[in-house]
Amino acid sequence: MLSISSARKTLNLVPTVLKAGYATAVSKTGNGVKVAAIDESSPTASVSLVINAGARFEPQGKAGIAHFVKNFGFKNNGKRSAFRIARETELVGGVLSANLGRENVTFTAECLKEDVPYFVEVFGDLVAQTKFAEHEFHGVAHEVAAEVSYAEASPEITVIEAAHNAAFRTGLGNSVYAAPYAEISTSDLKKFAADNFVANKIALVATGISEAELKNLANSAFSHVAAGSEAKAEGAKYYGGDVRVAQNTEAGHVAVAFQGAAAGTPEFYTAQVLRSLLGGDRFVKWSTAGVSPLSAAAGKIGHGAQISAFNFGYSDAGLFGIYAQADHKNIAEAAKTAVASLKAASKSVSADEFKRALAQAKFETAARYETRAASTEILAAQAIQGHKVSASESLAAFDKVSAADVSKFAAKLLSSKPTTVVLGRTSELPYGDALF
Amino acid sequence: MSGITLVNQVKASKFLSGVLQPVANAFVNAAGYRKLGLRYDDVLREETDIIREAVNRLPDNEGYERVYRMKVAFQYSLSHTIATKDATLKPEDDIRYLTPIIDEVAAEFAEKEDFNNIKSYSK
Repeated sequence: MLSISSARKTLNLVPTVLKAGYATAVSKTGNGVKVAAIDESSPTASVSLVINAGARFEPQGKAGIAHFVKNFGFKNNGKRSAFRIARETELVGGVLSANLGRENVTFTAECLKEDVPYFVEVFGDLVAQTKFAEHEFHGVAHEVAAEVSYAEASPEITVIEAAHNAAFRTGLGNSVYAAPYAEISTSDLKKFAADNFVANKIALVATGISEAELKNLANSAFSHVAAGSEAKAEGAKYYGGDVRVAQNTEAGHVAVAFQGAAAGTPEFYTAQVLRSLLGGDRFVKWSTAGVSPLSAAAGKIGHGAQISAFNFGYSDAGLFGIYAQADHKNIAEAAKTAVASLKAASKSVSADEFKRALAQAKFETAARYETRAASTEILAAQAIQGHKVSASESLAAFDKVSAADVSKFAAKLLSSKPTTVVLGRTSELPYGDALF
Repeated sequence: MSGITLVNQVKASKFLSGVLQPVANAFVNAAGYRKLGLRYDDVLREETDIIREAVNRLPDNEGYERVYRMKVAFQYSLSHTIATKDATLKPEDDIRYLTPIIDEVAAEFAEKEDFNNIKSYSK
């Protein structure tokens, strides 16, 4: 955890690092695979295969198929068996992982620099030749079921998934976890792969290797991939609504969300500042009271209450909200205080508060460019959309945000129909409209 | 399956297949499994890791049909009869439904064996 003072120091260092080499041009291979790389001077590298076929692109009646696709990464393909991929990865000291988001399915390999060509080749085979064999499917289905039950047991995940579902219904409202009733077969998966594993929906994103080199590797490894066409998501429409999930939990959970802003838009930067302004994050480990309104409110309630703001940005929509967690006695008060803080922000934002929020939002954004997982994620989202925003450019975008913008944005949030999710002993939990 | 096989050479040569096909037919007849309604792949020795795994990987309906043929064969055996001429398995129905899977599994097992005995060297 970082204290405020060390955060400041890091922030001062950022611009020089940026000048050194954070240019993120998005180029394409011959058949349309987008390629982006950050060439940093470390002995290790990472390559990610990003397929623009996340949960929002699941066809009607096949909810959860993206989850199966994620878990089918690195399985038997025409060139190598799953066993061989696993062993060869171990032999070269690599780490493989798969990740599913609402927009993208991402497969990542972290390795020593000289082994990047091997993993790019594996990715090319994964896209073009994965067999989706029946006997492997049984194992994958078990993994999916285990992850689904993990998600069901986690109130935070359940609440955030329910909030997305109520806010967007279909598309972005699709859960990244397969539904318990998901009926997916290997032939569904083969069809989904044929439709979505096409060059125009794929981006190859890497750190620790130059973009020219990566493009060369991609050109040969992905030469057999059909070009296809770019993903067309049905535009996300915001609905809003109430969801009440009955679960026997210690603490009550309440999330109140509103229509936010799409990632990368000027409004999104405003939303980030508002998020930092409301706060709730702990910057000092084990601290019980912070300076932001939400952490002050949580500190006042005590008993382990946590209140924080969240801001999810997607390619064409966003979800901004407040998440409160406290024992059932205090949860209504916690949620009401949280909404009151948002209302206060919609009226006016003081210069001091704005300065703090801006600094925190900037630091968070810049810091994200410096960890591998986060910078890969940023790069992936940008590569898929074909536009590039460097860390310095996004910091510059923050400078255009004013305190008035922030309160105007807060007012705009409050004018959208709220999405309220409560989870816990529902009879003791507040109703959405009682919070305002 | 493992072992040296000249089956492709024999099939390719008109002369060799002309000579050996009748011998093969006579062998199958003498083996008698078709008279119990079984296919060749049903009588492969199941008690090996490879074949057990291959049987596990059969699609559901083929697995059920395999078990059904075996039950019928047991019944013939218990009642000391063999299938009537009509019920005897026809040569064209004697499909090698399991052999491709066995080959696949055998290749995977061999690969595993190779990796388990790998010697690493520096580049």
